[in-house]
Amino acid sequence: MLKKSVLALCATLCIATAAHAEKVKVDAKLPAYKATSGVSGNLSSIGSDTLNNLMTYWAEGFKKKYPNVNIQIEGKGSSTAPPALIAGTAQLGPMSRPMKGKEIEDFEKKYGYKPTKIGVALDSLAVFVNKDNPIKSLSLDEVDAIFSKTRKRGLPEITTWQQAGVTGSLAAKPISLFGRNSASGTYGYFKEHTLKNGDYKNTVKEQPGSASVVEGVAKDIAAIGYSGIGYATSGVKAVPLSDKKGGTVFEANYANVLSGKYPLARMLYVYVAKKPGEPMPKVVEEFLKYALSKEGQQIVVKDGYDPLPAATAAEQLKALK
Amino acid sequence: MASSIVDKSRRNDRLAALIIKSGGLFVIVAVIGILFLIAKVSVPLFYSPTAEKLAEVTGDLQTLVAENSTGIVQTRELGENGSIRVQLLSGNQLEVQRQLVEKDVLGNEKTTRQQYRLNDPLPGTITTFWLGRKGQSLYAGTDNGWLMRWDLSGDGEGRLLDTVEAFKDHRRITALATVLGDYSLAVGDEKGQVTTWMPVSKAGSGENKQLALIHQLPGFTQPVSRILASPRDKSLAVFDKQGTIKMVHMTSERLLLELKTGMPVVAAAFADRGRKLVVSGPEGKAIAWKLSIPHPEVSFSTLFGKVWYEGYDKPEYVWQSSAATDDFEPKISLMPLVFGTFKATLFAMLFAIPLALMGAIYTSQFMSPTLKGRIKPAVEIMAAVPSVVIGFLAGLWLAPLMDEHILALFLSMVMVPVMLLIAIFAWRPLAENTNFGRRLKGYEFLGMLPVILITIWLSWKLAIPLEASLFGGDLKQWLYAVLGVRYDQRNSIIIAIALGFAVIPIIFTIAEDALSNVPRNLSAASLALGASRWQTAWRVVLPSALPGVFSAIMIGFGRAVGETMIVLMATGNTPIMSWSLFNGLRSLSANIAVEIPEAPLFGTLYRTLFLSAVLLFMLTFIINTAAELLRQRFRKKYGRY
Repeated sequence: MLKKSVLALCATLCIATAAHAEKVKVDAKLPAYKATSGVSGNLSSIGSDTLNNLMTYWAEGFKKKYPNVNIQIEGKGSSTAPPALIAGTAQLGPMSRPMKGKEIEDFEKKYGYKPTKIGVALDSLAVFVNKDNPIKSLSLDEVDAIFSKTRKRGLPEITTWQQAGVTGSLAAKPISLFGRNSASGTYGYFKEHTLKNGDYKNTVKEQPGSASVVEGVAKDIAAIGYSGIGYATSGVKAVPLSDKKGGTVFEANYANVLSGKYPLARMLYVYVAKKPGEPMPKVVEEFLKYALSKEGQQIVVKDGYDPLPAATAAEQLKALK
Repeated sequence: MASSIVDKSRRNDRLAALIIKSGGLFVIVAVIGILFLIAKVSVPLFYSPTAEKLAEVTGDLQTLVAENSTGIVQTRELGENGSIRVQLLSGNQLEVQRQLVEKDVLGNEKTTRQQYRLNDPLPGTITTFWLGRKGQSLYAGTDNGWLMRWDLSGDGEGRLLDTVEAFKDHRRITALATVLGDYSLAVGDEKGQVTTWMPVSKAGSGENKQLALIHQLPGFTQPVSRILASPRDKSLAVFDKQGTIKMVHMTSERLLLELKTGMPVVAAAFADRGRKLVVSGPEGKAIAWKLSIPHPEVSFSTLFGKVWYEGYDKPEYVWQSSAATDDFEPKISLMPLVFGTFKATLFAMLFAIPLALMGAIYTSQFMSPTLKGRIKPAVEIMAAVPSVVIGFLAGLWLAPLMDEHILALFLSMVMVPVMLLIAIFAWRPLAENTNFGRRLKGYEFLGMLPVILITIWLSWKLAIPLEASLFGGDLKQWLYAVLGVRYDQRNSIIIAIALGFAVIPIIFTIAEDALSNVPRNLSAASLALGASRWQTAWRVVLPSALPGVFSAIMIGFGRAVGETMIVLMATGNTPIMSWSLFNGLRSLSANIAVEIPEAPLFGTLYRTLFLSAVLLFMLTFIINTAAELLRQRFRKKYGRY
């Protein structure tokens, strides 16, 4: 029930954001996908909620090429991928974060080798404020002081917009905080990289989906929130960020993500069990090839994420060999 | 002939009774079954940990304890960045050696070496010291109960941060180790006590933090000889001189296991990521255990009590269950959630009960039957609105609207009843003396509608100049500046209205049925004796229908307690414990919906969420049982309708 409603919400917003995201161009050097023969069978994917839409779109495209392939996608969260891979109930384990040490260890215990991590898309987390907020930039140090109660980055607490450097009518207003629910990879990523593993304030309004975060920020002039850049709407703006206070700020655009200058960019992964030196089942290999092809990366753009550059995609493909 | 019909109908009656009985029985069995299934998942949280002594200690475990560390040199490898080594010199002095490896873009390595002694004045003789696992902090304990802390993370030489008189009785500090995450320091002393310390900002000293005693863990009667931190969680293995080992957990302050070696331990290590413990005694004899401690962080105090977590300034009730890293201290206090559930329910009921009951009384007693035939189904349709839709509207439409017109809302809450009273007094002479008035009997409320609408419009118009003159143009700002109350857009008023909207049709329908079922002859008798319509409704009908009305309220209450989607979408799910109308809440049910999708299967969080489901179940069960008992008493006392 929850999932469905959130999905429905996402779907409507994704359509709305498609136009926004279309600006990003897929690398022309990416290989076009060539269908081969003899691909059939069942394919099952269990894992990330963030990647759920993307996996579904890929599965649709893939099924058009190979009507004999039967694909099942389940997106209950990144933490469900490792147990599914270990139990063999899924061949693909999409995750919005790298596996934790303990998960890799469990995997190794079962198979005797480490899981193979394939980067399939780029995502940049954005810090959103209301479109009428005059703020020009923020540093992650300040974002930590806004969101965290333990403030591991060391700045004193920021509760009003004035303390964050805003002047005018907004200045005296207390900052209203929006964030993702604790189950999501986005929550964990933001906690790790921005809060340095500190704790969120109790007043962070945890929303069940990224779209709700953006909607909340769009409707509240004093709000700040974080979510994937793909969810941006006309009601919010992504604040350019710097790592340290006083450092150079970078906008959350594709160029800055590629150059590694934007401080909150991450890779999205699909984990597979691949025995070293042996080929994978053909259907799994072809699916990943498809995801990393030009067509696959166009779908990435359509879904609001950033595509991989050709060189990175080629490198990821190497891991399949 | 006649008897056969009677027989047949009797048979049918018996059959129907049987079906109904078995249906009811099935429901009861199903409910108990569900409770059983939920409880089954959560019970392993409280299983006691076990340790299994391994028959033989394999070679790779042996090598872990092969080195008999003398304790005067500690080295930490910092991955690709080099290493750091601290040595206690004979002259009560610590020496730091650091080797830094820096790689530039082209892959050229540059190694810098650094060696210095810490020359800070010491309050006593250093008995033990500990270099943090990330090589960034250094701790030392003295023979007279003082603790010191240095910061080694900067480029320059180590900086003394703290010198704390840890124990007033100047006992000897015998063992130190940082708990996983390198934030808390575990201290063992000669009295056998095990305590954990962490930097806490002291009142008045600004951002300066000082080591403070946080947790008192189960210890020994003899001096602590060694502390070993688990690489898995916030557990510690503490050793005494005679080789007794206690596994304790920092956050829950639980004694997990007690192991006896029967020999003095000279070296100890965790293996297999904290799942195995291996110790060696003199002459290289080694013992190893396989530990099974599935949920060390769970105890009654962590679930329901205030706990002083790492990085916090005081003990608190906190729900913050997960993070992306392994060295996170899970915070699983259920109190903010229970509080949130009650807060949402209470405010929703405060909003819903008066409206629904008054509506039911009016509809059943005063409204014309034709109108009633339209109104009642219309209200029942309200109950069919999916809660997702209500939640969505409340969160994304009502909340921003309220944000702008909060003063108008308060104003109309005062003005609507006042204006209604004025309207009623104005209406009375008309109702009795004019033809028009008499004909409108049973339709009066239609006349009320314009009054309410006009009043709301009026208060909306009035709010703007009022806010400008009294509250400096912004009530929320005024609340924050003058009263220190934060107005949050997703607040309890929104919940009260949205949840109330979901509960009103239920209470209304059931209460209205109960009131309508009071036999006509009772009210007719009352009217014939000269009572007014209002007196009849209040004194005769309502008391007779009280059991039914009471059930209506309780069923509404049950719905409000368990409601998930509205609370999930309309609040910010903020686990705050405050009765303020102007901030949000996080309820048990919404919390389960939010967190279960990514809770690792059969992990602590997963089972804790099931435990919270059991709690929710018990809550509703207790409330409903109490309500039923009360209803029975009402029934005996007041009537049977």
